[in-house]
Amino acid sequence: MIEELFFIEKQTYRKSIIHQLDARVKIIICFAVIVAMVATPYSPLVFPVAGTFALFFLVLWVLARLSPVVYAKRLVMILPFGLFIILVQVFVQNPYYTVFTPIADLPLGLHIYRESVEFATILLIKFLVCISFIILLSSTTKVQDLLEGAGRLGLPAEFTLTLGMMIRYVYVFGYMYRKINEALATRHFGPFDSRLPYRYRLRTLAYTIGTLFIRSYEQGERTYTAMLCRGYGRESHLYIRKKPVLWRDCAFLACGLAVAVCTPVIFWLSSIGLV
Amino acid sequence: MHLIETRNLTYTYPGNVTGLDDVNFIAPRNARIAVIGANGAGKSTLFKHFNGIFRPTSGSVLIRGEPITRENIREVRKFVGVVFQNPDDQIFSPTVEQDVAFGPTNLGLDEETIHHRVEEALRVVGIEHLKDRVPHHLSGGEKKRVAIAGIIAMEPQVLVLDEPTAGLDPQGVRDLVGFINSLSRNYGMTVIFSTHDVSLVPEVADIIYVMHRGRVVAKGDCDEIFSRPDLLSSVRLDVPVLPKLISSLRDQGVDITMAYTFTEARKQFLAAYRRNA
Repeated sequence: MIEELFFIEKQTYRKSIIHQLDARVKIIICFAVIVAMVATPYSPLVFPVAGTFALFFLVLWVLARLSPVVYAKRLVMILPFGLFIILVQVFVQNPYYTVFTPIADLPLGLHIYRESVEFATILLIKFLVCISFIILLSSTTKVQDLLEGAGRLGLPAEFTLTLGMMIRYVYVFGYMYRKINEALATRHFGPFDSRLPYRYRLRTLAYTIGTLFIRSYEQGERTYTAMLCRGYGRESHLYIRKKPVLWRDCAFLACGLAVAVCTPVIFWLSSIGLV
Repeated sequence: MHLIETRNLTYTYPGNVTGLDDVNFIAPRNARIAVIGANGAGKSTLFKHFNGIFRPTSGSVLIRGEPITRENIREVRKFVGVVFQNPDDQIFSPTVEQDVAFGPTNLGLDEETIHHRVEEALRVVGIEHLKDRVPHHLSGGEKKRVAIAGIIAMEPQVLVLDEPTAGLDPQGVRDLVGFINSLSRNYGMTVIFSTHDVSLVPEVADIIYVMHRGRVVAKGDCDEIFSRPDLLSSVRLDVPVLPKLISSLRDQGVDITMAYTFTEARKQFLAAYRRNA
């Protein structure tokens, strides 16, 4: 998991048109697509809208010159969280339909409804589109640029400072975790080494996790002391330099917003026969 | 009036562990002060009293003649900048620029001044090129410089460095020596640093405090401290190699004047060689 952190970071340091865009532009487009997707009503209208957004995503991913493996790896990591919620929907009724037709009866009084399957499919599609854009955003934008971008877009100072410290120390603990793993490996300890007794491996891992917690606590104490030494107080905030938006970024933003807003509107108008 | 003064300073850690015992310390203006001592001698504990992180159990700490109070604590922390031993404790922002700007931002300065201070601090420690980098991509030496720049940006009059050479390579140590000397020479700052690397001390210190088990056991210049090998060995330290060699040669009857820095020693060796040739 920790290695994935460094893997994601590595992708953000690549060079492409998308990587070079201002973080603010990428954040706005990403959130515009998510809002548009979420706002699209739970109906078959979702399919053409999601298809267009998927195409838009594909174009951006190609422009970002990233490997499909990067996307697949990250999707596989995130998918279980959403899949669980989506799978549950198959067995329950939801407020978007009035009539439910059972298509399978299961033990313990469980039923699978046709409408629930449709709802779960729409939910899955919405989830995939939203997650894909989040993956695109985080694979093409350095995490510190994301934070600065969010700060420039008006994220409150309390959040930028806290998130900034979190970003910094995620990497500090990432390296700490690596060092602990290396120290264990140096002394021939492997958590999956079946030659070692199971209880012994469990105990050693528990000690390691405990040590990491204690070190985190101590690190927190030391960092807070260092912050006080540099005048930390209620008014403290992260320094974010002013940065003008280039015309190229503005043009890209206009195109991105046009796609995000026009796609659901056009398909909706066509569904009611106005286009 | 001294910039920093401690009077009979005693500090006891929770669990009744003595951290400092009756410490009297003076930091005058534009001085380079080394606090030497073995591990656990109380150097870091003493430093944490200089900007009010620790409060004395008894005795007092005076900054420009004034005790540290709740009202003047921000002013004191602006006046006395402390650089910790491990830069990862001190660098907590996502980029170098943001980290160096943290102190000036807290001082309530306007953006232009903050920008100017950041640029200047990065220039002083020679890391302008690292401005947009993230801290976890830096080497240990570079992180140390970023930590120092973060303090320099607050423009303190006293810079306190806790074990500044820990983890640095020889070039890093040389750069640091030059940097400490330039702060004192060019900016008139008082620099206080702790170390147990005694060979470094003659190059960068005018005044030396020797600490052992929370007490100051000796104070003086290089001549006064390094002429007492018994004292140094009793506190788990040693005389630097150059004065040790010269002292040994003198014991063997070689006519050579004592020297502590490399430049002085080379001069004295050449003079002794010419005399004996």
